[in-house]
Amino acid sequence: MRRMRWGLAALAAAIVLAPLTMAAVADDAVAPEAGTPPAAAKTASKNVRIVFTVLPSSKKATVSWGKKKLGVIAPHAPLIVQRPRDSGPLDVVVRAEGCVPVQTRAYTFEDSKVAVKVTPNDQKNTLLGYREEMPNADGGAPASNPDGGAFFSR
Amino acid sequence: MALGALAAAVLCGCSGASTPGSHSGDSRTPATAATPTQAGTPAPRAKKEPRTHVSEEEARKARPDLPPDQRALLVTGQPGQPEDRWIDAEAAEGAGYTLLDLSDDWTPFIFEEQQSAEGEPLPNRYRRIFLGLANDELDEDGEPLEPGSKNYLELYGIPPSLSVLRARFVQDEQHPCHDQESADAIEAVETVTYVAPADLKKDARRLAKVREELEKARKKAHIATNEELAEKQPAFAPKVKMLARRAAEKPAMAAVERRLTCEGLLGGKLKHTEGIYDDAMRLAVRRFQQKHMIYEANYLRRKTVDALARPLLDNDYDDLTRALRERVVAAAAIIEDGSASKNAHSLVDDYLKAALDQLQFTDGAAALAFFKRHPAAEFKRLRVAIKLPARPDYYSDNMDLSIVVDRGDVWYDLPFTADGHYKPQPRKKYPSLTLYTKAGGKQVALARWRTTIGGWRSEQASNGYEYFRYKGSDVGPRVIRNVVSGPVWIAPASTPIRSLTKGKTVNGKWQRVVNYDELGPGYLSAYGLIAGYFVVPGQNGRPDWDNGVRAHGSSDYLSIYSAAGFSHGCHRLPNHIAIRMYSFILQHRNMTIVGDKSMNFARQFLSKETAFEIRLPSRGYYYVLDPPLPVNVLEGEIKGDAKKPVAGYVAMPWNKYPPGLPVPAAPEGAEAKAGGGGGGTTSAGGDD
Repeated sequence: MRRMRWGLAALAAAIVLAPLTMAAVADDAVAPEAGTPPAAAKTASKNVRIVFTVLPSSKKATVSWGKKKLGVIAPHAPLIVQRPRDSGPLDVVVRAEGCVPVQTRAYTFEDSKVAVKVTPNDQKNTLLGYREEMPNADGGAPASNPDGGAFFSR
Repeated sequence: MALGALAAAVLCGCSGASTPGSHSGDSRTPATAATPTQAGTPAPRAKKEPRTHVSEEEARKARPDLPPDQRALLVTGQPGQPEDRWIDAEAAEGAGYTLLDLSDDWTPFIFEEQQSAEGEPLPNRYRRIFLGLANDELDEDGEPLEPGSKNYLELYGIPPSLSVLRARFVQDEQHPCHDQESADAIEAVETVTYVAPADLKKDARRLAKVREELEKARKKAHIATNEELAEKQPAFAPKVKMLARRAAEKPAMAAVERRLTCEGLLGGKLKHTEGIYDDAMRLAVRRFQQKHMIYEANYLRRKTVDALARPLLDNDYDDLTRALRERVVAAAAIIEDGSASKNAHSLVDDYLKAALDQLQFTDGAAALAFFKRHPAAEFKRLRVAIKLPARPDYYSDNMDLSIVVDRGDVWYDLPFTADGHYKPQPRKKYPSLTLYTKAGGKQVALARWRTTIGGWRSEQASNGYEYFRYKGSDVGPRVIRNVVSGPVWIAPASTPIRSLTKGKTVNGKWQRVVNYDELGPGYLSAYGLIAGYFVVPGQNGRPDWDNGVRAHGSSDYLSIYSAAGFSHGCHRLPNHIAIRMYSFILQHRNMTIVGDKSMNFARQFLSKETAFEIRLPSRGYYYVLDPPLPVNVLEGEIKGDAKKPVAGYVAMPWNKYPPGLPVPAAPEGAEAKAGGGGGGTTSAGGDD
């Protein structure tokens, strides 16, 4: 029953939002791993299926593509989006409550899965590129000064 | 004379000298198995059918009945009176003609459709984008271009298709955008002085002061004109000259504005203020330079000004000539462009001239006439039959090629003084990359190009702050085993975050996204459109050692030709040169086509309050040279006091760091240098 409802929703969305369609499906949605050589796509359909999931999978997240909200990744339920094959990449933003928003990309060469890890706001210091803030507006002296002007790392 | 050369060329084709065919390197020995380092099943290059011998008379028979993919165009007739004739393409090849591909789906060899030995297609992901860009149909991401938009990417290695050039010729005939008055105004100056919009008032005050000074001097000396003053009192000559030059620049600037507006390059979203070199003007000049492949900074300098003074059709003719040059080079599989030495002969020029002569493309008007005779639809599939001179005797399908990189003058000293002032490190000898072949027991230089070596670069340390680090170019013997078209650069964790995001309109909304321009595949990527990976061959079953150094294409042409231009250790070439070189190598060496090498790379980084996730589904399209191509990197001449590079991070004297924050240790090893996974063997990556 649940599948049928989502199927109808997908059909309605396909009509309204064509060529962009979306549907949430159950956890057992199957899609080949990203990175399959394009040769495999020689008899493929006109559209590709992109399966968005979020890690941890218990989180609920929204997926936006520019102005458009593509849909919701419900806990343990991926968001499936269909796009015309080779229509260019989708630069999307995945937002989960209490987490740092993630900008990521899905490709349209072939069917793919995009599993997005979201990081709680209080753990953003674990992300590459996080840096300790300056203590005050005037910033302090260059780091090289405390040890007497040495510029070099040890 | 030309006929004699042609006759000789035909005869030479039977005497052992190599005659360029349409698909040079076609009768090659299929490559053997791939190296142990390659993933997946390698596919030897498909062998083509040998051509049959056909008489000249038979080949030149008119065959208008043939479908487009079986015919070729032969231009005959007296000079100035060209006559077009469709002939049988296969017969033309059999008679020694080269089929020059003028189709809109032409790509250089590295992006050609390839097949495995079993006839299975080995598609290249970037081919579609390359073609879309060349035809003004797609943007760099492969998304449809807005109607009427132009790419102008020749400067970045993607020449316009013949359909695009045809449209340019036809439009420019209708809208010449050129008048003698404007041309005279532009020709009256060599350059137009750049004054930043913020400095306009300051500049005006300075000029007023000079005028006042000359006025006083003139009155005092009872002299009528400034010119007379300069003659009688030479001390004033430079100032008089400067004022005259600046005066001439005003009408020149106005003429440039008219020209760029008429060409559709100035105007639109960015507002331009007349007479001011603002952002709108800078972008328009950049577009003009891109359109006409002018290697200059984005100002009104000499080459740019010269091109702006010329009639549009003249510039279009040059654009066509360059586009044809790449196609002739590809069809003939040659490389000798006259760069090997001062007196080196340019085979490329000879071949191009032969093609232009036979097509009767003598000037812009003749090319326009050709385009008018052939509708746009014909360029979907159009090949022309031309006779090209014989190639030198040293040509074969498996040439003894090698590369030597000379690092030129090298500085290891810090580029600043202890108090943080910039310290110049002049170089007399710049780095070069030379492609050699062995002929008659001697090394023959085929081409030599300016390239880059590594130097002091910014790196982001584990504490999130940027430091300097010396990123040198390795010295000594190496080999190139893997050549990758449409390569992906996996940014090392030490890449400054600021370079990894960019602004982009996504589905109607302006936002920041991962900067895939930099990562690739694409003409702007750190590795350009093609890269060869330098490795030390593994011994006794060990894998190759990859320290992240490549010789690759680059869109950053100013870094290649600049006195202060450095890489992160790689050897950069302009994209079109890198494409030529690797196409040539792949066509004249035993090699195996692996094809698209998939991966599933993802990495997140934080910028401001958003996590950006890099997702790379493919490493690029792999060709494996077997045996690998020998490379030798010469040390060059070490200048300055330091005879070895400084290891580790160096704090930037002009950067601010939190008090007490220690300078972190720089990561060592190939992984740190090359970064993450991009196609090497023992290391995973690559850095420019």
